[in-house]
Amino acid sequence: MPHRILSRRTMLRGTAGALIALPLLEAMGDAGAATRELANGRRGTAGGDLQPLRFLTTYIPGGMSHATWWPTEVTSETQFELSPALAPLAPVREHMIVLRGLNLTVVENGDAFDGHREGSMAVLTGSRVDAVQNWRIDNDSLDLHLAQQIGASSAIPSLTLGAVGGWANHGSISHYAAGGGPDRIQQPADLFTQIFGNPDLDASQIQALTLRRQSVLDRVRGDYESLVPKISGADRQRIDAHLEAIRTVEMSLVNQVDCGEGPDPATLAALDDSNLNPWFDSMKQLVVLALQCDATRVISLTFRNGGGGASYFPWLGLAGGDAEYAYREHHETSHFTDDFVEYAAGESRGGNFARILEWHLTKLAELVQALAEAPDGIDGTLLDRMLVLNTSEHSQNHGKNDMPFLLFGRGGGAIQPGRYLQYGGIPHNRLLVSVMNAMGVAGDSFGEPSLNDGPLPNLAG
Amino acid sequence: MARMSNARLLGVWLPSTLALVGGCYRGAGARVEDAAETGDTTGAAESGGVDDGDPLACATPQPGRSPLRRLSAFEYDNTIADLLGDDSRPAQALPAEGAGGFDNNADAASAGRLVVEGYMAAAEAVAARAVERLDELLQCPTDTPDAACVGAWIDAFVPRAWRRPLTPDERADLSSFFDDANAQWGLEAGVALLLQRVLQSPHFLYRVEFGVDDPTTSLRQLTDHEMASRLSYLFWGSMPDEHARELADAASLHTDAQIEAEAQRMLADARSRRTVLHFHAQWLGYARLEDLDKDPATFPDYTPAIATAQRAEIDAFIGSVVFEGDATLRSLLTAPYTMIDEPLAGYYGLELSPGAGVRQASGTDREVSGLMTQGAILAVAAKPTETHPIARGLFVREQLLCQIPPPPPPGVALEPPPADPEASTRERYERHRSDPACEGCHQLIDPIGFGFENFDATGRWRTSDNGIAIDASGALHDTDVDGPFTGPSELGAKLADSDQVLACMATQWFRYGYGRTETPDQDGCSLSVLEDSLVTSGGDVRELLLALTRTDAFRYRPVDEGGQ
Repeated sequence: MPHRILSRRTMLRGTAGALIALPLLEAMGDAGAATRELANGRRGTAGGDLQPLRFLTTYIPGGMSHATWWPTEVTSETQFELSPALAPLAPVREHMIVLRGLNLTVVENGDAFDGHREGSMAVLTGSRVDAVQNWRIDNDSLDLHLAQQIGASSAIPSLTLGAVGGWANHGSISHYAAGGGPDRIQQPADLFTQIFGNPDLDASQIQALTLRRQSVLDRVRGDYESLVPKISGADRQRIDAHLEAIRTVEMSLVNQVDCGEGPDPATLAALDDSNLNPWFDSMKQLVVLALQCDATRVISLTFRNGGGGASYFPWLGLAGGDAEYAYREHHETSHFTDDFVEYAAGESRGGNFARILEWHLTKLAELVQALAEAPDGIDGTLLDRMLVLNTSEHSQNHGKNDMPFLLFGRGGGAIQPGRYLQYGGIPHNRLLVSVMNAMGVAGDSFGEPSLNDGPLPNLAG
Repeated sequence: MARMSNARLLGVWLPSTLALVGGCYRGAGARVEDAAETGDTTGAAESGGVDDGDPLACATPQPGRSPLRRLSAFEYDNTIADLLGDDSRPAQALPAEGAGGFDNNADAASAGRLVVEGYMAAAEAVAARAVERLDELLQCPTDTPDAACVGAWIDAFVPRAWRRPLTPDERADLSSFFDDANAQWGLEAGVALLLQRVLQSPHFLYRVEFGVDDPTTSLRQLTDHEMASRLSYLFWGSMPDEHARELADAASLHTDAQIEAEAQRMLADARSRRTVLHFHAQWLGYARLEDLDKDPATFPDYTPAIATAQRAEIDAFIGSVVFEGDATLRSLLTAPYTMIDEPLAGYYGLELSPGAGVRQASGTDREVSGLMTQGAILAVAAKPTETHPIARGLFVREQLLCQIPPPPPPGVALEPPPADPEASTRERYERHRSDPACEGCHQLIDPIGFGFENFDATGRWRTSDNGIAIDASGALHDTDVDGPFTGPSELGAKLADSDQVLACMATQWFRYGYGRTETPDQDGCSLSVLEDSLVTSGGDVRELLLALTRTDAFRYRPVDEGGQ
C-alpha cells in the first residue's frame, strides 16, 4: 500500500468512516454489520506493493477530418510524422498509440438516428443501439463495467465528468444497460466535494451529518432490499440499480478516503462557457489528485455534447464570416468537409473546426502530461499503470469507419506506447476488450457478441 | 371528411411506426428480421394493417407493460408541495431527466449515484424546513411535543407520503427508527431523520404497485390506493388529495363509476391545467425555448424577456383552448387567436384589446392559427440566425403525425445550404434538396417547412427574405390529407382533418399518461379506446384525458411485473 497521510482535515471531514461510525453501526445491529462488511470488502485493494490499475476515458465531440488526422511519412510503427491535426500531441507522443482501422461496426447498419447519438451510445458499450425504443443498449459502458471490477476497491467506483452536465445520448459515453447513464459532474467545486468532502462545514458539523446520513441511508437501503424479492424483471433491475447507488453513497460516507487537504477550493474555477481553459485546468488538477490518492480508479471526462447545438469557443478568437453560428459553432463547422484540406489558409469554416479540434487535443495533451508527471508508488507515475482512451462519436461526417481513437499510458505493462497501429477496418469491440484486459479484467468479448474476436493483436508490442 | 373506423386507424398508422414511405431511405440493410422480432410494424402500412382495434379481439383485457415509475422532477416537486406545503421545488436541483421521450418515461434512466445523492440532499432540505415549524407539523395536543405525539403523526403522515396504509411491520419499524434517533439526537432531529427516510423510501419515490388478483382474468387489478395514485398523477402530477384518499380508504375507488367520477372531479380541478401544459411543452418541444441562443446581431430585439413572454403565450393559449374553450384538436391547430402581453404584441406587431397582462389577440396582417403560428414553436424549430424549414417540417412530421423519418445515410455530407445573399432560405434549401440521395426523404419534410417561411427564426412575421418575397406554399405528401397548401393556417386546417394527427395525439398522451412507449401488439386495444374517444367527441382533449382512465392499460397490470 502506498504511504498515506491521514490528514487532520480528512479525519474531520467525516470521511474517515471507521473511527467515527463504529459506535453507531454497532448500535444499529444487523443492518449495521452488513454495512461494516461492505466497508471491509471495499478496503481489500490490489495486493502487494503494486499501485492499482486505473482507467480514464475522454470524449471530444464532432470527430475529425480524415485529410488532416492520420500520421504521414509512415515507415514503421514507430517511424512516422504526426499529422497537422495531431501536432498538439507531440509533447506526449511517447505515451501515445494512434489507432487506425477501427470501426463502430455495431452501429454502422443498424437503427440510426442522427449520426451523433448512436455513436455516443456505442463507442464505449460496443453494443447495438435500439434508437427506436429509448436508446436501449445491451450492456453497461466499459468504464462502468470496470467500475464494478477494479473500481469496487476504491471509495468512489467511478467518476463521470463533463463540460455539460446530466446524461445525454449525444455526448455522454457512460451508459447503463438499464437505461440512461451517470449524470456528469460539471463543476470543479462539486468534484472537490466528492473527493475531499464539503469545505463549508466544520468538523463537528461533518461528524454529525455523516452519522445521521448513515443512520438514514442504512434504513433506506433496507427499504429497497425488502422490496427486491417482491418484484421481478425490469422493475427489479431498476430497484437493484437504485440500491447499488445507495450502497455507493453509503460507501462514500464510510470509506476512508485520505486524499489530504486537497487544493484550496477558492482556487478552483467554475465552469464558464466563455472560456473553458480555467475549468479544464481545475478538472485536470482534481482528476490527477483523485487518481493519485486512490479516491477512484475509473473516470470518464467529456467535453461538450456532440451534434447540433450552441458550442462556441470565444476564447479562440476564431475569424471568418460574420455569422457566429455558421462560422464558429462547433457542429456547424464540422460539416464543411471540403474546407478541411485548405484549412491552413484560415478564415474558413473548416479552418475553424480544425482550430476547435486543436484546442481539445491540446487540453488532452496537457492532461496526459500531468498524469505522466504525477508520482505514483515508489518510482513510477500514474500513467505507467493506467490507460487513457480518447474517443469521439464518429470519424468524419457521421461516418463510423476509421474512428479517431487514441490510447495513452502503459496499463501496467500491457501496452507499448509510442506507436501508430493500423488494423485495416475491424470492429472496435476488440479495442474495448484489449482495454478491459489491460485493466486486469479477463474476458475475450465486450459488447455485441457477434462482432467480438478477442483483443486487438500487437498492443503489447 | 369521414372518420375511419378504429381498426383502420390503427392498422394504417399504428403509432411508433417508423415511416417507410415514398422511397424514403432507411439506411443500408435495415434489419427487417429484427424489426419483426421487436414488433416494429414498419411494413404494416403496406400489408394492409393489423387488427388490434377489432372489438372482439379486445374482449379480453390487455394492459400491456406496467413498468415501475419513479416520480419525475415535476411530480416530486408537486408532491412535496401537496404533502408539506413546501413550494421550494427541490427536485429542480436533481440531475436532469435523460433524453427518453417524456420526462416520466419509466424506461429511460434508472437512478444512479448523483440522483440518489440528490434525493438525499432534497430530503434533508425539505426535512429541515419542515421541522422549523415543528408544532405546525406535528399538531400535538400538548405544549411540548412528545414521543406519543410523534407516533400519532407517523400514523397520519406516512400513509399520505407513501400513498397507502402502512403494514404493522412498517409502522413498528418507523417507530423504532424514530425512537433510536430521538434517543441519540433529540425529538426535532428524530422527526427530521424520519422525514428524510420516508422521502427516500421506494414507497415515496416510486409508484410501487402490486395490485390484487382479478377474479375473471389472469391479470391484476389495482388496489383502491394504487388507483387513487394513478388518477392523481395522471391529472395533477401529484399525490392523491384527501378526497381521493378517503375514497381509497373506504374501498370505493375500483368500479367503473367510481373511477369515472373521480377522474371527472380531478379534471375539473385547477391542478389539471399544469399537467396539460407540462405535457404540451414536451410533446411540442418548446420546453427548451428559453435555452435557445438566437444570434443577437441578427435579432437584436429578441431579448430573453421576449422568449419568456412566448412561453407564457403558448401556455396561456393551450390552457385557454383546453380549459376555457372547446378543447378540440382543431382549435389547437386553427384557433384564430393567441394570448399575449403588451411587449410581445409589440414584438409581433399584433393589436391588443385594452386591458392588462396576457390577453387575447387576433391577427390582421400576421397570420394567426393556433399552435401553427405560436412563436415558441417557430423559434425552437429554427436556427440561431435563420429559419430552418427542415426542423419545422420535421416538427409536423414527427410530433404531429408521429412519423419518424430515418436519419441521413452515413457518410453523406450534411452541409446546410451555403449562404447566398441573392437567394431566399427557401431557394437555398430547394436547390440543396435536389440531390437524389436526399430527395426521397426530404420531399416528406421540407415542403411542409416551407409553409412557415412567413415567420422568421424568432416567430416574427415577415413578408420577404433577403429581399425576395416570401413564398409560403407547401405540400403534404404521404399523409391522409395530402395536397398543397399556403401558409400555416391552411396547413393547420388540413392537419385538423387528419386521422393520423388525431391518432398521433392519442399516442402522445398514451406515452405521457402511462410513462412508457406503446408496444404495438399489446396496446392496440388501449389505443383504440383513446382514438375512439377522440373520434366520437370531435377531437376533444378533455375527453381523451378521461378516456386514459378507461383503458386496459390504466385499469389492469400484468402479473409478471410487480407481484410475486
